[in-house]
Amino acid sequence: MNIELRQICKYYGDTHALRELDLIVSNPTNVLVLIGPSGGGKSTLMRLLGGLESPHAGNLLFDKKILAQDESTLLKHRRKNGYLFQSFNLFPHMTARENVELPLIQVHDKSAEQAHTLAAEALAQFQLTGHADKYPAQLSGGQQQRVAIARAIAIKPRLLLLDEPTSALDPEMTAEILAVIESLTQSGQQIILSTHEMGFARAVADQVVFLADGKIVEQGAPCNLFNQPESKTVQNFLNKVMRY
Amino acid sequence: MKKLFNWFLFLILAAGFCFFFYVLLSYDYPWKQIAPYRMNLLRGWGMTVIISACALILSTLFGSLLLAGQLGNHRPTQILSRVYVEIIRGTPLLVQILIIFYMMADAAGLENKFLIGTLILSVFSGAYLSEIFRGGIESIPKSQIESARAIGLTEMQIYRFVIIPQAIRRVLPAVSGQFANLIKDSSLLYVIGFGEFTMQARQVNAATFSTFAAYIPLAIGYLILTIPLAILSHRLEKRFRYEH
Ligand SMILES: Nc1ncnc2c1ncn2[C@@H]1O[C@H](COP(=O)(O)OP(=O)(O)O)[C@@H](O)[C@H]1O
Ligand SMILES: [Mg+2]
Repeated sequence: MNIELRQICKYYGDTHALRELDLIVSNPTNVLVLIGPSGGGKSTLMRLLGGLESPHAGNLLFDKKILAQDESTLLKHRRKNGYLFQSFNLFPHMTARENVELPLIQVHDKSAEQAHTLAAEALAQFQLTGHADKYPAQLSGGQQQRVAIARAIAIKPRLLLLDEPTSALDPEMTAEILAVIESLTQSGQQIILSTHEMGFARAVADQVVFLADGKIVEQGAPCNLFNQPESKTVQNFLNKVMRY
Repeated sequence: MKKLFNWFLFLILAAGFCFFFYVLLSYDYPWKQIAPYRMNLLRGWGMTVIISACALILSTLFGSLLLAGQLGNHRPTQILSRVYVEIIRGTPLLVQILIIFYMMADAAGLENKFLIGTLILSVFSGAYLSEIFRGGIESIPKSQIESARAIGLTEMQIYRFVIIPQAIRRVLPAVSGQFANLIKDSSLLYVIGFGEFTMQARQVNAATFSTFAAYIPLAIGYLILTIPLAILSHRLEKRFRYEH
């Protein structure tokens, strides 16, 4: 991926969620992982990268081109990429299959048959074929997240943004979703992931970014950042979360 | 203590019912007198059904327009819709009927009582329906709108595929309750001399020189319409509770 952020600022009222944040990520990075304390700005950064919100100042560049912040450009940007929230991704009044088909038909101009085939493929890829006609309320949290991933993947997104996709799940389901994400990284899918699963971050990341207080504290390859963190903040954070 | 209170309530209710049936049965109810007029009553009942059904359709349209007015971002339309709803909800239906029939309809050159009656009921019920609709739409969680934006739906598509289908499921119980209200409220149209159920009952009373003979059939006629709606409303509520 080729992404550059220049002096990004984002406020929510008096809260500075991001403060003049700079970031450069270039090839061959395929998997970028955001870590850091809660409230550090990971979700905010993801929402800007996904075109769900606009910064108050600064520019985002994708493939060296500035992403204009008008609604129609942002809509196009959202349509190219996949986005997954912590939970409540699915529409409860539609079956798993209908959830996957909706963007294919309404956003990506597929015919009903094409959408049906693509949805069936995507659901099969994540072992959901038997659940295709169930409603979200009839699925476990892990299955729901898999359906949401299938929906995001079915459109063949350029970039897949995953914002703490396992935070709302129990350990078993977390393992199930992490396995799915790992398989996606192996297939070459470009992914930006924010997570509190440090072991997983180290295993799949090409680049890790540590975000605290709306700023990037440290960035680097996982082996460097996890083994020899330079900043005190990162050291303390890792000591705290890795203690048990 | 709680049990005692329940028995107390039960006794009061039972006494009320006993009194009601005692009065009813101790009379030599003049069924014979009203029997020859049963077709008039039936015709009036049919009129009530028809005008209520027409008013339901028209008030759904009014309610939707008022809702659009309030949700839209055109400030003057917003204010006018709000004022309309508050005026209608703040005045008795009887007063509205008198004002619309004697002042508005005359000024607008309307003479057909069925049409005027339908309009009055729709103007009235539309205000209540728009509030029911608004409640339904505002009850859809923000996370649904977020997900819908993330998959690249436009604002119109978000309403069409995500918000409205879910809102309709949520408001159906209240709407069927409102339909029952509409049926009962239509009884007030007798004041403008429209030949619905209550009007016919009053005429039967006049023709038989009785003060009340037709009122028990009148009550039963309304119950035949409203009880199924009450049951439907309960069922829909229950089904909705299980779906989530
Ligand atoms: N919609 C919002 N309204 C108000 N404050 C927000 C909102 N979103 C985020 N914030 C604030 O911005 C800061 C960064 O939050 P967030 O990006 O969610 O961090 P993280 O995902 O790393 O936990 C926090 O202080 C949070 O309270
Ligand atoms: Mg977050």
